[in-house]
Amino acid sequence: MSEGTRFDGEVAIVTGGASGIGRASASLFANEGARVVIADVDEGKARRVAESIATAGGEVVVERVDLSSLSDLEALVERTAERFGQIDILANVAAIFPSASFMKTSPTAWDRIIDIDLKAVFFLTQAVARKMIEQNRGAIVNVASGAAFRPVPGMSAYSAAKGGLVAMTRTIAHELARYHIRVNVVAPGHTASETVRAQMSQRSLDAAADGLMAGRWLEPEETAEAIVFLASSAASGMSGAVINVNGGDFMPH
Amino acid sequence: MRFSGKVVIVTGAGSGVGRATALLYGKEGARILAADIDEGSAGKTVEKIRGAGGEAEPFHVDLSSRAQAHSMVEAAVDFFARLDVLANVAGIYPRAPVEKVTEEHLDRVLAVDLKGPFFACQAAVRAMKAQGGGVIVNVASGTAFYGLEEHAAYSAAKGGLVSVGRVVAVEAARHGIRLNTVVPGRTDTPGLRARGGSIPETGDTVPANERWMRPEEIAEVIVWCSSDGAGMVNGALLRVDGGWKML
Ligand SMILES: NC(=O)c1ccc[n+]([C@@H]2O[C@H](COP(=O)([O-])OP(=O)(O)OC[C@H]3O[C@@H](n4cnc5c(N)ncnc54)[C@H](O)[C@@H]3O)[C@@H](O)[C@H]2O)c1
Ligand SMILES: NC(=O)c1ccc[n+]([C@@H]2O[C@H](COP(=O)([O-])OP(=O)(O)OC[C@H]3O[C@@H](n4cnc5c(N)ncnc54)[C@H](O)[C@@H]3O)[C@@H](O)[C@H]2O)c1
Repeated sequence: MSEGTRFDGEVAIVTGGASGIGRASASLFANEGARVVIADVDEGKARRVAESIATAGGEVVVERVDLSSLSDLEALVERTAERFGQIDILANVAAIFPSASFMKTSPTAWDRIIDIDLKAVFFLTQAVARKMIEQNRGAIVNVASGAAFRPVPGMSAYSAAKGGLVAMTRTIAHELARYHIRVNVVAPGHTASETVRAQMSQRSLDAAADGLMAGRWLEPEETAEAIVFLASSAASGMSGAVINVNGGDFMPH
Repeated sequence: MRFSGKVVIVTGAGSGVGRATALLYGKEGARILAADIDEGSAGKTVEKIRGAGGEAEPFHVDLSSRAQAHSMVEAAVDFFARLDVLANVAGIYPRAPVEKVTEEHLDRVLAVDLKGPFFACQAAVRAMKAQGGGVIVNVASGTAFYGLEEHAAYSAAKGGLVSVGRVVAVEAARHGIRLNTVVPGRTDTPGLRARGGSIPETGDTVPANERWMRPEEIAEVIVWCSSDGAGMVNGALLRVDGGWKML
């Protein structure tokens, strides 16, 4: 199928590749010639995504990974390095986003969100960067959220994780620049991913769409385009940067 | 090719980032109005585009005039019968410590770097509304966000351009028009070299945050954020500084 060749010969790990924005990113990378590792806790869904990528002619493997386990992260990186001998791209897309008011957020809920949405990104990036430093090249894209920049009721712990993700990306980008590793952020707006569609009725999706600048939700593919762009050599001038993909709903600095 | 059949205006197309941008749009199949106050250099850009099999017309414009900014947009529509992208790249960046900034200096910088792109946007929004959509890309500067000495007037203009861009993005979204702002870091261009001083190596062996950007690296981001793949990127700031400042 390879429609493009932007990533010929490159190896890309996509966390959360079984669903939504991660799924769309995995397909796009594969479409452009990358060998893709779908790293997800939902192995069944991950396999179905992998099958459809493989049917279209893409090269893909599935790694069942629970991002809340540091040993899973290390194992993912070791196995990928062994299998392919290189890791060129890491897209940190997976996250959980359960809703709870600030006053009702328990320490357990806080820990779970911070573990998956922030700590896992930190340590997976560290483990992958070890390989990228040896290669003296690499591109990492972290997926944040509008919640990093503006109030989203019910998302206080999540906004802490995503805000932290944006902040740490800058410092990591600075430290890794000398190894020609670029680290950037994509901050998606309202995206009608599988999880979002499962949680909301079509009526409430439509009602919310009326309040959006573009009058509609983003498709996961539209956010994936920005992830793939930042991972490509066309973005060689970008590091420590944030691309907001939200149709103009809000415009942080 | 991402821009087959599309019509693009690039201002400042005679040099630096503007020339690199025009050449890249050319490679992507666009028909280009290469606008510059220096018609000779715009003509050279056009020759290069045509030499590579592309389609382009040079256009003389002094962006410090509202009337000329408007006629530039009209010319594109006259030549090519539509307008899909306006890339406001032209800019001047004369240095002066704040106590030495004359009224002429301030007026000229605000006219070229803010008023020109403002009225070009205005005319482009009109044309794009009539045809149901389009994309505007403004090129600002990191000096809109941090204090770079001897750039007081320039910072005012670029800060203003960033602010104007947000408003246009909000007003025009309902007409299918997007506006994004690209924020280059230090870029190795003829304009910058003409100011003197030494420009260090830009090659890939230097980490991005230590080297100067190449004009082509800025052009890639301008072209991407105006492409269909970035269809939901609107009102965004795209920093292309290799992680030099990150603010
Ligand atoms: N959907 C939106 O509106 C929206 C808005 C802003 C930001 N985002 C961000 O975009 C990213 C993707 O969102 P989406 O809506 O596509 O999500 P999704 O729920 O559709 O997909 C997330 C994937 O991550 C996986 N995952 C969750 N926990 C994991 C764990 N512990 N270990 C391994 N994998 C795990 C899930 O199995 C799932 O396949 C997330 O980072 C999210 O915060 C989404
Ligand atoms: N070079 C950098 O380091 C840097 C950094 C940040 C932002 N920028 C911005 O990038 C843009 C391009 O800069 P560059 O370095 O490529 O500049 P450059 O001087 O190499 O090219 C600028 C072009 O704009 C044209 N121009 C000047 N005044 C004009 C006018 N009144 N009307 C029409 N055209 C006019 C010039 O003739 C020239 O061809 C500018 O907006 C600049 O402010 C540059």
